Amino acid sequence: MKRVGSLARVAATRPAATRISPAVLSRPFASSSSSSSPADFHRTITPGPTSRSRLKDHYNQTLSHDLLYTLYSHATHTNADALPNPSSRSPMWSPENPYALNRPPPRPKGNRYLVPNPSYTSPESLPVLESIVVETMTTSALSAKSNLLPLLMAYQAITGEVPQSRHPGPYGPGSGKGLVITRSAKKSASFKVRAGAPTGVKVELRGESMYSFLETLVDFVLPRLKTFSGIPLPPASHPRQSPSSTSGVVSFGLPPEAMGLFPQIEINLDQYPKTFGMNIFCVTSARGRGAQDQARALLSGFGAPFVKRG
Amino acid sequence: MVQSRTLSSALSTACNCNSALRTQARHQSTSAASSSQRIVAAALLSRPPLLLPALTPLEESYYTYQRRLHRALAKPLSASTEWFFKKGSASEKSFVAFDQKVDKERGDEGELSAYVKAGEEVEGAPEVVGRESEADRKGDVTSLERKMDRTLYLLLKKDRKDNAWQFPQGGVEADESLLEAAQRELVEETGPDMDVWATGRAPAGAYEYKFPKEFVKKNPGHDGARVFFLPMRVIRGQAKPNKKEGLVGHAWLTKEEVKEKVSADYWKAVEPMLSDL
Repeated sequence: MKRVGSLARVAATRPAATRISPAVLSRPFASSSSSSSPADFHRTITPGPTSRSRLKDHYNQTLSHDLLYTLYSHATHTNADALPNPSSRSPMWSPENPYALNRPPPRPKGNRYLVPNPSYTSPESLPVLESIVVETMTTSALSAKSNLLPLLMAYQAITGEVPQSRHPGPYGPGSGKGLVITRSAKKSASFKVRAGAPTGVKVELRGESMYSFLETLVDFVLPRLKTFSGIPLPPASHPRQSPSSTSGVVSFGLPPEAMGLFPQIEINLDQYPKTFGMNIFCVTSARGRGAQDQARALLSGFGAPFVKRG
Repeated sequence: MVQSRTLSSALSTACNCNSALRTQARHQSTSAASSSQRIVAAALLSRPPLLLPALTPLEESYYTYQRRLHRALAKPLSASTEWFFKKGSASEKSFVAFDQKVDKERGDEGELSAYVKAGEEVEGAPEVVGRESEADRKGDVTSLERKMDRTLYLLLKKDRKDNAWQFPQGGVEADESLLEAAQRELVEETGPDMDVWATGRAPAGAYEYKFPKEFVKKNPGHDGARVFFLPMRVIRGQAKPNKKEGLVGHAWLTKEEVKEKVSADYWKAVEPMLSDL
């Protein structure tokens, strides 16, 4: 996909009658919201996308069509009805057992999740990129919380998200939006970690910001990262039923050098006292057997390189 | 998502007999006397769109509005320029210049031209490239650079009056698969100068037709053919129609243009497989 900015010219040649009246656009923002007070207005407002996403359009126009054929498995498609329901095989308490009264059903053996059956190949069952979670942990945060500041600023520049605030609002607690400070769950005396000590920064990207992050990563960062040959594929012996194979998440890590290659940071790299590595989790809608392969096919279609481990 | 309809319907018939096809094809080569359908594989070769489609007036206005909204909710300018841009750099200058332009237009909010163009101003971009290519201006249907915001399909022209235009196709030989047959026929008919990626191993659709009676008299064995279309994408190179195969031309066409070239029956079978975008 080439990037060609010819929209201005298109707009210039279009007859004026088909354009939407500027008066509609210049209406005060508050009048379009149903809120009563200015404080409510800021809480309820949700800014939409400021431009269309190139990768999303690529998915709709080309990639989804190709995935429909690439991911088609005739055996799965024809047997989708005949497969036994996995939840029917899950263990049950004996009704005579008094211990079982008012208890939830026992957990399945083997420490494995119940894997859903593969379904028909259809536009609805195609994998979609749901979110990208970017996360960094740094031991330097344990000694002083302020060591997280450069990391926060770098994340703000890379992802365009602002830190989650303590106040209610679009980036408030529990919103799932914005930069979140991660905290240690357990204490560990040997690592000098207290329970609840800040350890790093995490952000969940969705929608437009997710696609623009992936686009930046694939177009500017990964091709220039000399130590990166591709997202490693697991060995052939990797169990097909393992949680990592069935959850449809493609995860990989980037070294600290990668942060300096993001264009947003590259323009004033001197401003940042330190660069950090990051873990990236691309969460897709694929679930069940073969979900990892579907997720990789999707990411590969977006231009992410994969490599076999030597 | 047009293709899905054909995929599910065609595959249920096509793939059920896929294993049977191989044995059938093998039998056909030995027992020529029985009249049956000839199995043919066609390459549904396409070039994906290279450009995004043009924005509609509504989309354009929506994004303009949203840019303004984001700007209004953004942090104060002084904080962001000092942190995000190196002092005196070209990027800082262009950012500040844009902001001053917006400030100047703030009194006259009806225009909003700064926001309309915000997506277009790329630092260091040499020139705005047009949506129309050289091939579009000349009307060259053989070029891969025409209609860059649409999916194009390769049609080949045979030297005959009826049904001259069709997708590259040919009979399945011995025990090769449908995909192998389609790829072999594509190389035979258009030459080795094209890199092609097969999207899947299963056909996207099928088309059945009867041979003319005179043809059956001359070539007994089959009274008709069943064509399976295998979806593929062109990666690079260009088709060169092979004259020895009786081909006189080729064209890269959009869905609507394909309709004009092929017969009504053929179009009915092929239409759900082709992309509207």
